[in-house]
Formats: sequence, structure tokens, C-alpha cells
Amino acid sequence: MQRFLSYFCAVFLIGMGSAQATEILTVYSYRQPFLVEHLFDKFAAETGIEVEVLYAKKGLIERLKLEGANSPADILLSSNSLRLLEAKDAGLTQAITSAAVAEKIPTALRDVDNHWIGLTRRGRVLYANRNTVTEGSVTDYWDILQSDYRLCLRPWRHAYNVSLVAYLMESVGEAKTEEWIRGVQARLGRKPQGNDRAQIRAVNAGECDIALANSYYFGVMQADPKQAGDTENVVSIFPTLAQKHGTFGFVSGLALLKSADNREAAIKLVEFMVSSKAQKIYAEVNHEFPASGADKSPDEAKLDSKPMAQIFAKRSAALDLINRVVD
Amino acid sequence: MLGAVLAPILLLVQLGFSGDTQLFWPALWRYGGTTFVLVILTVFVAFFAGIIPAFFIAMYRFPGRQFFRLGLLLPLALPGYLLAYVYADFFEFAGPAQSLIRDWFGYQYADEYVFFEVRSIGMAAVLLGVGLSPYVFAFTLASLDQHARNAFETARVLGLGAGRSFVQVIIPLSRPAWATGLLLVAMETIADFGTVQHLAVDTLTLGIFNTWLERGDLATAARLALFAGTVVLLVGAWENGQRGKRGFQSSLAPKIGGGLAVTKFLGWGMCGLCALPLIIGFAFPVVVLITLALQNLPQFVSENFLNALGNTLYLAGSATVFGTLIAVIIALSVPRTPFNRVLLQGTLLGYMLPGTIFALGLMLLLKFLGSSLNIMLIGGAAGLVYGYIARFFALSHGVMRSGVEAIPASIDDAGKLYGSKPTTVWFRVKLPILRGHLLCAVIILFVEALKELPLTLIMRPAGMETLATHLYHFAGDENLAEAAPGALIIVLMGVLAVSVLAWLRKI
Repeated sequence: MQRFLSYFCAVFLIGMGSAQATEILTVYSYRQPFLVEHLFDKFAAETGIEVEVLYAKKGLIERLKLEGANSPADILLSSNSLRLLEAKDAGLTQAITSAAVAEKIPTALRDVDNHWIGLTRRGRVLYANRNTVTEGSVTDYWDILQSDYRLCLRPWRHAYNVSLVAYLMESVGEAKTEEWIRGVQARLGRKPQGNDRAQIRAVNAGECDIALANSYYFGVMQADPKQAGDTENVVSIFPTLAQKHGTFGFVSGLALLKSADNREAAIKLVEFMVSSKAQKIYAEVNHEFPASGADKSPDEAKLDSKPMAQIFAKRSAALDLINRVVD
Repeated sequence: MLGAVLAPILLLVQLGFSGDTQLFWPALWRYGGTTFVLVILTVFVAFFAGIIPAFFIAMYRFPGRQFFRLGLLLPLALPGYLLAYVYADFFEFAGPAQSLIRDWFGYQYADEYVFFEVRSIGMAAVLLGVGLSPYVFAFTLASLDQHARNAFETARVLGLGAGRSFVQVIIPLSRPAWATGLLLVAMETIADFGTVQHLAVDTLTLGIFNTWLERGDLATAARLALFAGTVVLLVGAWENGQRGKRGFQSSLAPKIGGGLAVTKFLGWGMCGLCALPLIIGFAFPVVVLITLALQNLPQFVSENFLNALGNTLYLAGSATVFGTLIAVIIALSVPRTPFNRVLLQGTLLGYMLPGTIFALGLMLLLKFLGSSLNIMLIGGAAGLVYGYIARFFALSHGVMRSGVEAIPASIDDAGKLYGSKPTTVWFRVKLPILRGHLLCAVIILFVEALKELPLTLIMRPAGMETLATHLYHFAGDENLAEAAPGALIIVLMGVLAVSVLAWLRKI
């Protein structure tokens, strides 16, 4: 019995100890593994610094708050810079001081105090079934309310939709936004459910005529032979908003955390992420537009360029509006 | 140990009574109402899925009768979230079932034909009800085996039809048994996270998760957690009281085996009805998972899968080693005084409370300890392992305690007469006797830790996916096929645990 115990204790201790041999950075990521894994591998191969990632869809900021100064995390990665602003607001971040970063990323796509920077952009766009929606008839977020289209979207309270609603409120005001939500609500083809990919699939299968989802999913699905069939009947549209504003564009990015023990290595990773080759890979794998991009594609040019902080300021009002209007 | 289990919960209480919680009542109405409806529906499903097969098996001779005795325990091997993943994937609009219907009949759109809504409260009730029905089935069957055959035969002899005998004699007679089963079903339903999350049914557990992680409103989340926790405790206490009143006695000796003969047609009908919960709760999802896994064989050696497997073994293994050790020491050394009994009963709290609630309290505790000792506790493997041990302590301790209590006191006396130290008696006599129980405790703890989802999801360290979280990510991404190998391992372990439980009931 005693030998048995000492054996197990030894195994346990070895297991605990071996994790601390090399230089390690810890990233908390709201982004999915397949989008960033290979970049971190590349970084590790180049610099010898290992990157450990905690992937989660929710709760990383809440966890950082609880972990406080003892948090193992160095960098927070998110597909939505509003979350990075939230982390900054909670006092979890610090300034990224790097000339290389300042040079690469335009000021509109980073925090005023450089606590976070944008890495890529993408639109929250419309997907229409080419058989039931006449080409060219839908070019604005408002057009989807014009005829009796059946609409699909993921649950209203998801961060993507809350952000879009915040953008609408900031652009056209609360009353018009409420009218829009009610309009969408009245035309739902099914109860809001699933992720963005599921919305595109539903349009393809004809369950809905138009769906709201992010631009990059379409590219990802088309590039995957297993999923390409789910996009055959679908076209993507980068809409205007009330003819005056552009397509709502998310900025994905990262923030440097206050708890970063190894600031130097963390800055190295940030600089790697904005380097031309990483930007190219990141944008290509994700089907997004690189934040450092000089020449813009026609779709990218349609993205609205309101500062994120303004939209962030409307976020809690947006959630309240959704809670009031939707069940 | 009670302190280790209670500390997180007490911190939750403290938080729940402080801070701004104006959102509490609307949230309670919304999530509490849904939970109530779901529990009622689930209990309804579990009642019929459990009691009817138990009745047939106890009373009649029909094909497959002996097989179903153990076979109907198998749905317990699948965690609820796994059922939800498989059924949602199979029956949603773009899934194989509806695609086939559209192909056959030439439909294109959802509004051209009627199909049930997969992500709905009804579906959740069916899956949870069938998945948990073994609780009702096992308790009822044990009770009917004991004393219902005589009563049933008497009722028939006195001229009551089979149906009326079932309703007027069997159901009331076995009430304490199925009531206990149903209460367990209700508690597990309230505690469920994975199933309701995937099927978009907003119950309290999910409400706590969202209020905390999406709204960042820790105080309201804590207050909701307290409410849900109190309900679970009341249900648990009631169940305990019910157990004491299990008072129907029969003066005749129990009749097991044998059974009434039925016509061939009726016999196959009974077989079919018994097979139904087994198919819905076990066979169908397992076949789907195997098919998916065979289509994705390379996944079995993919880095992500192997990492998840390794991490699971490491985390669940550590929890099992230390947890069992603690359980054994306490079971052997803490005497059974009334005071200690209450303390040990208290550790059941960790198991009864939903995982999200326990995780929330645990994070608060670790934050408190971590900042006062200035070390990193949240976000380390040790914190999660502590969580597993505290949460499942009541189970491993319960198994060990039942073994220890079966050892006669004369063993200790004999040891004293020989002048042996108590520890010598432990190692030389008691532990060898307790081998079987030790094995059970190890397996139960290991399997519970292995399939645990909410606690792991909230507390796992960076770079550490377990099989359960690996599965959660893929299923959430509607890409179940790639997670099928991991799912099969969880099922396999679950079957092992159920077999051990079945065996444990015999010893």
C-alpha cells in the first residue's frame, strides 16, 4: 500500500513539474482553435516560446477578474474588440508599447491607450437564398423587412447580435433599432438557435430566405469540401445601413493583460501577430480582412469605420433593449 | 472534508446576500418557470419509461426478460449532454433524418411538412427522462421483486383485471420505490447543464451560467444559485424522509423468477415496450456515434483527441487517487457517531448541487485563498482536481463506508487482543477485505470526473481540454463527427461504471 502511494505521488509530482521546463506564454482565447493554433505553433518554432491556450466561448473575462494578479494569462484574444474594451474597462489590461505595432496597425483599429489592437476585420453580413431572393433587391439591413422573407439568426443575446444592435443604436437611434428588431422578430423562420454556420446552412436548405451571420464563415465553409455543399444556394451581401452607414464590421484583436509575468515574450507574440506573414496567414485561414491591410477589396471597403469605443458605450443599452423587446 | 465541500457554498451564500440584485426576480421567473416545466415533463417521461418495464419484468415471462433486467440500466451510461448532441445532430433540419424525408417526398422547405422541433423543452424532457429512467426502473423492480407478485396474483384471483391491478395495486404498492427514483430524476434534471444548453432550454443552471459569464452579474448569479441549491436540498431532504417511510410489508416470502405466462403476441409486445427506453437512451445514440467514428477514423490518432485523452486521464486519475485515499482514510478512521453522520451527510451537498453552482462557489473560494496566500489557484490543475474530489467525495466515501460497516466489530477486538496497532489491522485485514469496494470507489470517482462538464469547462487550466470539453466544443460547433471517438470513450467508461453499480447492488 505504501509503495503504491509513493508511486502515485511521484507520478503526480513529475506531471506537475514537467509543465514548467520551457518559456511559456498563456493566452486566453475567445477565438476557436482552428483559427489560431497553427500560428502559435509557428511562433513556437521561430522563438522557442511555447503558447498554452485556454479556449472558451464565454467567461474568460469573468475568470480573469477572479484570478486577479495571480492569473497565469498574458494575452487575451477575441473575435470581438468590444470584449477587449470590456477587459480594459475592468482594469485587466496594460499598454502595448511597441513601435512595430504602432506602425503596422492603423489608429482607427487600436485602442486610444494601446491596451488592445485589432488583428483582422470582418462584417456582420446578410446571406440570401439565391432561389427565393431576387438578386439586387436586398442591399441594406432594412431591406430584409420589406417583403415576407423568413429570417434566421442565432440567439439574440449572443455577443455578435448584441454588438450589431449596439451599432444600430449608435447609428440610427434607439427607436429605429427597436422597430428593426421587432420587424426581424415578426419574420423569424424559426426560433433563434445554433451558430452562424447553422444560419448559412438553413438558408441553403431553404428553411429561411435570409440569415444574419459573419462574413468569414462563408469563406470557411466554401473552402471545406465537406461543407461546400451547404453554400450552393447562398449569396453573401455586405449591406448598407439606412443608406448612410456601412456594413457593421467587427474588429478581432488582442489585449495585453496586466497579469502578464513575461511582458517581453508577450510583446514578441504581439509583434509576431502583426507581422506581414502572420497577418496574411491569419486573414487567409479565417477569410477575414487583415487589420494591417493596405489595399482593400471591394467588400472590405463597405465596412463601417466608426470607432469601437462608441459602439461599446451602447452595449449595455443594446442588451437591455433586446431583453425588453424579445420575450 | 465537510469544510472543503461547504466553503465554496458558504461564500456563495455571502455573495448572494450582498450587492445589487435587481435583476434577480425577472431572471428567477424566466429560468425558474422553465425549470419547473422541464422537471414536470421529465418526471412524467421517466415514470412511464421506468415503471412499465419494471412491472413486466417482475410479473411476466416474455422474450428478453433476463436481458432487460440489466440492459435497462444502460441509459445511465450516457451523460445527458451526449444524448442531446446525437439527437440534435440527427434530427435537426439539416440532419440526416429530415434530409431523407425531404428526398423521399420531394420537399424543399421546413414549412412544407410537419416535423418536431429538436431544440425544445419537449425533446429535452424525453432525452433526460429516458436517460434517467433507470433510477425509477431499478428501484421499482427491486421493490416489485420483493413483494408485489403475491399481491398482484391475489388481486387477479379476486377478479381484478390486469390493467386495473396494475393501477390500483402495483403503482400504490411500489410508490416509495418509484418516488425515490423520480426525486433523483428531478434533482438530476435541475442540475443538468449540457443537455439544456445544447437544446436551448433556459433552465436555472443555464441562467446562472449566462448571468455570470455573459452579463458579468456575479451577485444575481449567486442568488439564483442559492435558490436552485435550496430547491435541490429540499427535494433531497424530502427524498430522505420518504425513504424512512418505505413501509409496505408483505407477510409472504418473496417470489423471484418464474412469472406469469403470456401469449406469444403479448410477450413480443412487452419485449418491444421494454426495448424502447433502451433504444432511445442507449442503442440508437451509440450506433450513431460508432458510425460517425468509423467515418472519422483518423480522429482517433489526431493530436487534439490524444491530448484530451491524456489530460482526462491525468485530471480524473489524480482526482481518483487522492479522492479515494481521503475517502478510505475517513471511512476507516472516523467513527459513526450521530454528529459525524450529519457531517458526512453534509458532504452530499457537493454532489447534489448543480456543477455550475459548485464551480461558482469554488472560484470564489480559490480567489479568496489565492489572494491571501498570493499564489495561483484558479487556472491550475490542482484547483480543478480539488473541485472533483470535493464534488464527488460523498459518492466514494459512501461506497467505502458501506464496506467498512459490513466488517464485524470483532475484527477490531481481535486486533486489540493481539496487541496490533489499528493501522496494522487496516492494512493487513480490513483493506484486503475491502478490495471490491475499493475498486468500486475508484471506478465511480474516475467515471464521474471523466464525464464532468460544467466544472471542467469553467475551471480547466490553459491548454488543457478534457474529453468532455473537447466534445462540448465540437458539438457546439455542430461538428459532432470529429468528436465521436471521444464520445465513445466516455460511453465505454459509463458502461463500465454501470456494470460496477449493478454488481455493487448484489454485494
